[in-house]
Amino acid sequence: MTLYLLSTLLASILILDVTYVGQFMLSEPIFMLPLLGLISGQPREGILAGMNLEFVFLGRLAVGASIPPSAGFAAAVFWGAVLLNRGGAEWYLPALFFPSLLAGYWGREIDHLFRKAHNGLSESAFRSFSRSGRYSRFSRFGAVSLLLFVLANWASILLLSWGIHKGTLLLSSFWGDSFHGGYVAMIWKGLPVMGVLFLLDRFHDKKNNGYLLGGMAGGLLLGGVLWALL
Amino acid sequence: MGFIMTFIRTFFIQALWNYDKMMNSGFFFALKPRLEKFAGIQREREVRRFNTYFNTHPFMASFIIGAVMRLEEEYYETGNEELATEIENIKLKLMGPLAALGDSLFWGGLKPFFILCSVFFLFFAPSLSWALTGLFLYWSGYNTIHLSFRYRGLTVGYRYGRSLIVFLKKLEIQKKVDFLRRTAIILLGVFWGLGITWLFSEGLEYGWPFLLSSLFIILLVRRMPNILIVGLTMIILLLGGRLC
Repeated sequence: MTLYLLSTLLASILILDVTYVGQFMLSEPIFMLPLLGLISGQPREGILAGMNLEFVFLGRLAVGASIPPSAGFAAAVFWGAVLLNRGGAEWYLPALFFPSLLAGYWGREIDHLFRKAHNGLSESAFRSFSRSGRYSRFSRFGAVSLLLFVLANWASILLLSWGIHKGTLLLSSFWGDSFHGGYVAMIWKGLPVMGVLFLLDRFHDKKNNGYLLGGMAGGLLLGGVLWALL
Repeated sequence: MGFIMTFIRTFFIQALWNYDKMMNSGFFFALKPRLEKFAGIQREREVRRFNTYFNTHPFMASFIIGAVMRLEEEYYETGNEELATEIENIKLKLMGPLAALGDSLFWGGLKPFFILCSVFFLFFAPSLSWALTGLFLYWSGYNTIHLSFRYRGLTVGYRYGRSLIVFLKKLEIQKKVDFLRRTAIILLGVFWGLGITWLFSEGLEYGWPFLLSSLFIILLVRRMPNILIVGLTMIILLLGGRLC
C-alpha cells in the first residue's frame, strides 16, 4: 500500500511537467512508466505499458488553448491499478489498457479547471504588483496552484485506479476467456506494432505517404529476411 | 545573474497559464529580474503593457523574452516612447510564427522522432539494461536540444533584438523539420514492418488481429477520435483471443 501511495504521488508530481514546470518529457508515459516500474520492481511491465500508452496519446497536439487528454494522468492511473493487482492474473495488464485511456479525459478536465482558476489568480497578481510593486504574488499563486494541482491529481489517480482495479476484477471471467495463455504475452508486446500507426495523426501530410509505404515495405522485407535467416 | 534567473524562470512560463491572456503572467515573471527598475506611476503603466495576451511555444518563448529584454533596456536608457510600442509589436509579430515553428519542430518533429528511436531500443533491446540505457540516451538527447533552445533563445534574442526575425529566417528551421518528419515516418514504417513480421513468425493466429487492426488504424486515423479507434482495435483483439 505504501508503494501504491508513493508511486501515485510521484506520478502526480511528474504530471506537473506537462505545463507547470519544464516540459522535459517526464510526464510522457514512455518515460514515466519505466521510471515507476523501476521503483516498483516491475521495469518490464513499465516499459511495455509506457510504449503502448505513448502511441495513442502522441498523435494529439496541444495547440493554442486546446487541451488534449492527459497521457501522464492515464499512465499514472494505469500504474496505480497495476500496483493494486501485484501478482494477479496475466490478463490484467491488457485489460487495464482501455479504461486507463478513458481516465486521460478526466486528467484533461482537472487541467481545464485549473486554467480557468488561473484567470483570476493572474489578474490578482498583476493588481498586487501594480499597487505595491511586489512580485511575490506571482510565485505564491503559482506555488499554491501547483500544490493544489498535485493534490487534485493524486486524489483522482487514487480513486480512479482503485475503481478501475475493482471494475476489471468484476469482469475477470470475460477478460480471462479472451486474453489467455501465450496470446496475452503476444498482445502486450504486439500492441506497439499497431499503436505506432497512431503517429500518422501527426504526419497528416500526403506528401509523406511515399516515405511511409517505403518504410513499411523496407521493414517487411528486412523482417522477412531475418525470419528466413533466424 | 539576471540572465541566469530569467533562464530558470522560463521553465515556469506556463505555470499560471490562463484562458484570458494565456502566458501573460509567465512572460512577466520570467522578465522580472531585468525589470527591477519599475517604480510608482511608471510601474502601473508597465503592468498595463505586460498584462496583455501572450501565447507561443514554451521553448521558443525564450527568443521573444531575449529580444524584449534588449529593447526594454534601450527603452529605459533612452526614454523613447516609441520603443514601448515597438516592444508590443515585436511580441505580437513573433509569437504566432514562433509558436507554429516550435509546434512543428518540437511536438511534430523532435518528439515523435526521439520517441520512435526509443521504441526501437525498447522493442528490440537484447536485455532490460540495454532498453533502459537506450531510453535514457534518447531522453537526454531530446532535452539537450530543448535546453539549448531555451538558453540560446535568450542570448540570440538579446543579441539580435528587433532583427531577430531575419536571423530566424536564415536558420531555415522548416527544412530541418521536414527532414526530421520524413526520417520519423520512415522509422515508423520500418518498425511496423519488422514488428508485424515478428508477430506472424510467432504464429498466424497471433498475426492477423494486429494486421487487421493496423489496417483499421491507417484508414480511420484523423477521421475518428483516437479513443474510438482504440475501442475498435480492442474488440478485434478480444475476438482474436476468443478465436485462437
